[in-house]
Parts: sequence; C-alpha cells; structure tokens
Amino acid sequence: MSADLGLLAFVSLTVLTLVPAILVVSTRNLVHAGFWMLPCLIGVAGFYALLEAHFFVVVQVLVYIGAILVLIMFALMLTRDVMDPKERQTNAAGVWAGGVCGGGLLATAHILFHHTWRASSLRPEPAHEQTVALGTALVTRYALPFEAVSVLLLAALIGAIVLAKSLRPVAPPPGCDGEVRRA
Amino acid sequence: MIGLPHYLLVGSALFGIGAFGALTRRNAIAVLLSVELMLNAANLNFLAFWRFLTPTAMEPHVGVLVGLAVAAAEAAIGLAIVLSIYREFGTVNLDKIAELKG
Amino acid sequence: MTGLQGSFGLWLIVAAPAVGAVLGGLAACLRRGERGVPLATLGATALAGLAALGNRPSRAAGYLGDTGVTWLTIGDGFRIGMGVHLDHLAWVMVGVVVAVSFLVQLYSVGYMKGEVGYGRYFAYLSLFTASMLGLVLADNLFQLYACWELVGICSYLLIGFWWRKPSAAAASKKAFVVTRFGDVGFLLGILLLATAAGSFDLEQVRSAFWAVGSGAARGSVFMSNEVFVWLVPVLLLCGAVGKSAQFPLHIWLPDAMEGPTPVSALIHAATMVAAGVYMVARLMWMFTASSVGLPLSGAHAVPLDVVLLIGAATALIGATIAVVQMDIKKVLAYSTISQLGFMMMALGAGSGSGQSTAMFHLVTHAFFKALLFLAAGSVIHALHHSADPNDLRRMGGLLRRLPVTAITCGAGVLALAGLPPFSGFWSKDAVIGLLLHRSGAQVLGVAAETPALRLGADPWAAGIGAAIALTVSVLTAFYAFRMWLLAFGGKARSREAEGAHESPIAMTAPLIALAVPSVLVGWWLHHGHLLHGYLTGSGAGPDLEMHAGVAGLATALGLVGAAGAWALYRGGVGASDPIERLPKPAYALLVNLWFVDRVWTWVGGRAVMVLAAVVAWFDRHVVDGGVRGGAQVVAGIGAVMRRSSSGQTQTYAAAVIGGTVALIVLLALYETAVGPALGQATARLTGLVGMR
Repeated sequence: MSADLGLLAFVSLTVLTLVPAILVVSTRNLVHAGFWMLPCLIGVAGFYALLEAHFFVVVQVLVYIGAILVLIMFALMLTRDVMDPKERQTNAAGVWAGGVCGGGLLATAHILFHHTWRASSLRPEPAHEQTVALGTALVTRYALPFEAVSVLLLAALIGAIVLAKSLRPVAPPPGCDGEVRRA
Repeated sequence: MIGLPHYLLVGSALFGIGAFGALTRRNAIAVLLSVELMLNAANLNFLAFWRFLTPTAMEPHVGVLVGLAVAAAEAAIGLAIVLSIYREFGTVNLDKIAELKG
Repeated sequence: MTGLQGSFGLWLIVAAPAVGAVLGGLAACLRRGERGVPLATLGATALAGLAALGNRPSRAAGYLGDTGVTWLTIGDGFRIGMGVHLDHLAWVMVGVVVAVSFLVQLYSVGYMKGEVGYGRYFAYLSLFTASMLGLVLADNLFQLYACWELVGICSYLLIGFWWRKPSAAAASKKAFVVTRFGDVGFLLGILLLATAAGSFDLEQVRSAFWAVGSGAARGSVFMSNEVFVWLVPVLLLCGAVGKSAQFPLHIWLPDAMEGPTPVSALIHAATMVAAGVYMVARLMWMFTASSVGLPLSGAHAVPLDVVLLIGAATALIGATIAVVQMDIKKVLAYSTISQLGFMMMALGAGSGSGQSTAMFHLVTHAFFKALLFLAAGSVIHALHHSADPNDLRRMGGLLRRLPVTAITCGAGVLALAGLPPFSGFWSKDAVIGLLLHRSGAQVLGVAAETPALRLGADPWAAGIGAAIALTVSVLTAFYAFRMWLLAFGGKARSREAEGAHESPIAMTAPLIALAVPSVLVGWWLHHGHLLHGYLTGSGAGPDLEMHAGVAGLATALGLVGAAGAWALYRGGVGASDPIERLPKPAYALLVNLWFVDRVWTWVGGRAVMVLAAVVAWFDRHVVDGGVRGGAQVVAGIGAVMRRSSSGQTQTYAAAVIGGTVALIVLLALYETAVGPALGQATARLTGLVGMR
C-alpha cells in the first residue's frame, strides 16, 4: 500500500514538474512562461520532500519561488512591451536542438538503467537533526565554502548594480571637448 | 521500487527541457528561465545521489546550498545584463544580437 | 682545273655561292661597296660552274660523293650531317641551276640598276643558288629538307624584295605558307622513312625501303607494311605539290610575280619550282616500288597514279587560266604551272624513261621559260613609266622598238608552243609519246609496251594524261602566241609603248645567251641520246623512240593554236578581249582561277575557326573551370565553416551542449561495454565521500 502511494506520489510529482517545464520553454507569452515556472518549482520541492531533504523543501519554496521567481516575474512584467508577442518564440535551431537534447536524454536513460547502483541501506536523519547538522557544518567544517558563497553574492550584488545603473550626461570639466558620461 | 535511476531520470529530463529552452528561445529572459530549470535539475540530482548513496552525510547539502546561492546570483546578474543589452541594441531578441557574426 | 677535282671541288660547288652570299650580305649591312657585290656573286657562281664541270661523273661511273661533316649523332648511329652526292641526275640539275643563275645575275645588273637594296638582292640570289645546289647535291634526307626550306626562305625574301608594297609582302607570305603546308606531309614522310631506316642517308633509306617492301622488316609501328609502301611516297609528294606548284597548292605562284622579274625567271620558272620534280625523280625508286611486284604491294601503282593525275590536273588548270590573263607575267606564271604539270605527268608515266623524259622537259623548260621571263622583264623595264607596265593591253608595236627582245622572245614562244625544231618540241613530244604508250593506245605508230616500261602508272590514268596533254598543247600554243602578238605585234596602244626603246646590253646579252639553247638544246640532247643515256648510265636512247605520228599530231595541234591566236590577236586588242566571248560559265571559271583560291580561303578560315572554337571551349571550361572550381571549392568550404561563427550566443551554447551530449552518448556506449569497471569506480568514489 505504501509502495503504491509512493509510486503514485512520484508519478504525480513528475507530471507536476515536467509538464509545466515544457510549457515554460514553449509558450509564446513570456508572462505565462514565468507563471508556469511556479508549479514546476513546487514539483521540485515535492521531490525534495520525497527524498527526505526536508530543509531544502522549505529553502526551495522560500528562495527559489519566493525570491528568484518573483524577481523574474517583475522583470517580465516590466518588459512586457519590449517584444512583439506575435513573433515566433523558437529560433531556427529548434528542431536540431530538440534532437540533440532528446538524444542526450535517451543516452542518459540508457546509462542509468544499465548501471548497477549500490544503494545504501542507511536512512537519513530526521528533519530537525539534519538542519542542526547542516548549520553546524556550515560554520565549522565548511566555513570556507560558506564565506566564499558570501563573497560571490556580494560580487553579484555589486555587479548587478553597476550593470543596471543608467549613464547620465555630465557637464564636461573645463579644458575637455567631448561629452563626458558618468555612471 | 522507485530507485535512484528514476529520480536521476527526472532530473535529466528537467535538464534536457531546460537545455532545449536555453538553445531555442529568442527572448533573453526566456533563456534565463530555462537556465533556472537546468540549475534546479542539478540540485535535484545532487539530492537524489545523497539520499540513495550517502544519506547520513552533510556534504551534499552544502553543495546544494552553494548551488542554490549561485542560481540566485546568476538570476540577478542575468537580468542586469539583459538590461544592458537592451540599452545597447534596442532589442532583447537574441537572433538580432550577432555582432560577432562572420 | 685539276685543282678543282675531288672533294674540294665538290664542296666548292655549294660553298662558293654561299660565300658570295655572305660577302654580299655584309656589304649590304655595312652599306659599302654595294656596287661590287654582283661581281662577287657572279664570280662565285662561275666558280661553282667550273667546279661542276671539273667533277662530271662519267657515264659509266656511279657517283662522286663525299660523306662530309657530321653535325650531330643521336643515339645508335643516327647521323645528321651535310654531304655531297654528285650523280648523273644531280650533275644535269647542277648544270641547269648554275647556268640560269649566272645569266639571271648578269641580267639583274642592268635590271636592278639604281634600286634600293641592290647589294641585298644579289646576296639573296647567291644564297638561293647555294641552297638550291645544296638541295641537289644532298646525300641525306635531312640536308635535302633543310635546303628545301632554305630555298623557300630565299623565295620569301626575294618575292618580298619590295616589302614596303603591301601586295608584295602578302604574296611572299602566301608563297611561304602554302609551300610550308605541303612540307608538313613531306616532313612526315621523311620522318617515317628515317625511322624505318635508322638513318637519313639516301642509300640506307633506299635499302630499308626495299626491305620493308619485301616484308623483311617492319616499316612503322603505326601502320602495316602495305600501307607504308604507298603512303610514304604520297607524303613525300605533298612537298613536291607545294614547292612545284601543283594543284591544289599552285595558288602561290601567280602571286609570286610581285617579285622582281629576274627572280621570277630564276626561281619560279627554272630552278626552285623544279625542285619538286627533281626530288620525285631522285626518289623515283620509291614511287615505282609498288609496281615492281613487291610481295606486299597491291596490284595498283597508287603513288604513280597520284603523281600523274595531279600533274594532269595542274597542266589543264594552268593552261586554261593562262588563256584569259592580261598581265604578261601572270601568263608566264600559269604557263609554268602548266608545264610543271607536264613534268609530273612524265614522272608518273614510267620509271626509267619517265625520269629522263621529265628531266628533259625540265632542262628545256628552264631555258626557254627563263628566256621568256627575262624578255618580259625587258619589256616591263622599257615601259616602266607606265601605270601598269605588266599590262598587255598597254603594249603593242614593240617589234620595231625592242627588236632583240622581240626576236629572242619569239624564239622562247616557239619553244614553249612546241613547234619544231625548237627545244620544246622534242621534250614535249617525248612526254606525250610516253603517255600514249603507257596508256596502251596503239595509235599513231606507238609501239607496244616493253618490259622496262611496266614500272609506271595505270593505263587508264596515262590515257587521261595523254588526252589532257594533247588539249594543253593547243592551249599552250594559243596563249603563247597571244602573248607575243599582244606585246610586240600591231600598233602601239599607249604612249609609253610608243616611247619604248631597247634595253641595255647587260640585259639583252643574257636574252641572246638563253635563246641559243632554247633553239638547239632539244635537238642536241635528243639526237645524241645524251640525256637518257647519261641518266641511266646505259648510253642508249630511251626505249621509246620518237614517232612520226606523235610528232605530226603534236605539231599540228600547236599550229592550230597558233593560228587561232593569229586570227584573234593579229591586230592587237581593242576595248574588250575576244576571249571574253567564251561561254559565260567557262569564262567565269577561268577568270576566277577555277575558284581554288576561294576554296582555300574558306577552308582555312573555317578550319581555323572550328579549331579555335574547340580550343576556346577547352580553355574556358576546362582550364578556367579548373581554376575557378578550385576557388569555388575553397569559398564553399568557407561558407560552410562560417556558419559556426554566427555571432549568436545560442549557437555557441548549442555547440557546448552538443559536445556534452556527444560525450554522454559515448559514455553510454562505453557503459554497456565496461559496466562493472564503472561500478567499481563509483563505489570507490562513494567510499571517499562517505567519510565523516
């Protein structure tokens, strides 16, 4: 019974993830594409739950859906008039790319199912203990990667600001002929 | 019943869909969305491997966390770049942005 | 005289005029002592004559020769060199050449007086004499061909002596190109022979040819022996057709009249044009091989048939066109063509007698034709103030004014017409008799065929030849008398003719000198059996005796022609030539020179255009196409390669992902092959990661 439930959960989550994903990459309306991202990400969170990575279920929802997707939705809505909705959304290499990706997928499937996986018989720890262990690891053993990621985020922050800043014309200082533009 | 290969297959399928989108979509922001899909697929794979091979280790979690952070940073920077492109070329249609053509 | 005998004397025959030519050339280039050049060249020619006299091979002897110098030896004894071979045939020819050359040079002293390029003229004449003698005395085919071309060059230089005149330049080119055309076949024949014989030497070539004929040796890798035996003589004949102005390559000779008249006398009447006849006579053994009954030969004497028929056609065409000509030199030019045809017919008719008959006619013709040309030159010289001194219509009444010229010219005309006892009578009748005999016609008292004469053309060909020869006899007499009557008879028809006076002694002396043999040489050579006996070394007369019937018929025909001319042209010519009253098509044919020139122009033009079109197509599509194709291949590859640099980010991303997928596929293949190994690696990895 639980096996059946598990199978049912897996299959429905697969559908919930993959179908919207296909729609994300194929729909003509960009805002719709952003909206279809939502069930897809929720489906991924569901997978995390099935895999008993409870911390990441929450993080997925909070960060991915709550932050990243919102950001992208903002961008999409603000640039709604930039592109002509009647234009084709797929460029000339559509068929070829589809073939390549499909082929890759088939090859991967072949590898996966012909390999003998030695699955561990251990079970993961309960959610609370996972989180505590993760937090501890992050500030003790894995402090360096943690700090490195911080630096990465800082760089991204500064970079985004610099790139997005508009250039406004400034009065040239005396002795200079050309126009000076300062960021 | 549902073993590692199945999860990995789902992850690969998600990655493939994302790759298809990244290669074929004309709008730059749509490409960004596709890239996010690919990053999600990677995270999924990571956790699937963790669950079935080393469920008691914490290292995979750190990796996933880093991947998540990178995805967020990449989304922000990507949008900033799209803005720059729009300022420079007047369009976000990737077919029209081909300065290196030759 | 004894000093001139032996090898030194033999070489002197050729060397003396050559030296004279060099001296004359130097004088012309340095523009000094030009007036003394004729002295040098006349002296050289005289010296050559003396040397020839001193080295006469006796009747019984074979020949006098000197192997001479080797220029180079190729491979296994293939020798190219210069030598001297003076046999009876050559000696007769040398005599003719030296005599006529000497008299023409003497005449030219007066004729060319005051001309620009005086020294150059005599140098050329001397060079011609040297080349002609080199040709006659050649002991190998290479020298024969080289001197053959040399006389062609001299002809070119002399026809185009007044090269500033466009028609003269064109005529000299035409002469050279047309004869060169015939020389292609000539050279092919020579090369085939030399390859078969392994040498150019005439004796070796002869024995090789007989070996091929009898089947003992292979003639050529390109053809069977049967074909070789008749093809080679026909190829060699091509050269004679060109050089001796036979149909269809006779077209250059009338145009060659652009040159000074003494040149026409020497080259285009007496010597160079006779070179073809001489060559065939020299190589007669080759032409008659087929009819000797060599095992490989067919029943027909193909080469001799060809010789005879070509000669017949030439004789007829020449004579018919001469009848309507109004230019005195053109009449003589066509007459020469016709008489050369006669010589060819004689050669074609039979071997032993044919050779001596042809040479007989060659000798008599050389003297009386040279005489006629020089006389015409005298008339032209007298009328040189006229707009067209050559035009017969503007002459007339010159008998009183140029008596010596008129009388000597009359002697030449009588010889040409073949009326007894002049020289032409004896030689022409010999030809006609030979033709009739060979044709098997038992007429006019002609005897039955003797065994020795079986080496000849087919009887039917000889019959055609005989009929044409008889017709031509009438025509020859007609046009010859016509010419004389128009030039000298009646009243003067122009102011220049009225004021004409006799030429200086330098010109009239050679005329008289040539008139003597024109009258006597025929009788002399015939009755002493001198020529035939000498040439065959037997001392006997020709197998064919002169028949009264033939002589009578020929004389009668000649008189008919003469009478006709007398009737029509006795009082000169008025506004229109009586000959124009011929039926329209006939007259048109003759006036248009039997359209031979037109046909050649059309063929040449067409052939060249077709060939040019083929070559142009090849150049445009194959050569150019190759080059363009190469460039297009490169451009095509570039166009394909360029697509990878589209400038679009997604193209490059696609390349990355495509590469990755390819790796995955490879891995899949790898996986199925080495699965367990991969599983072990995975376990080791997880063991590493599993540490805490």
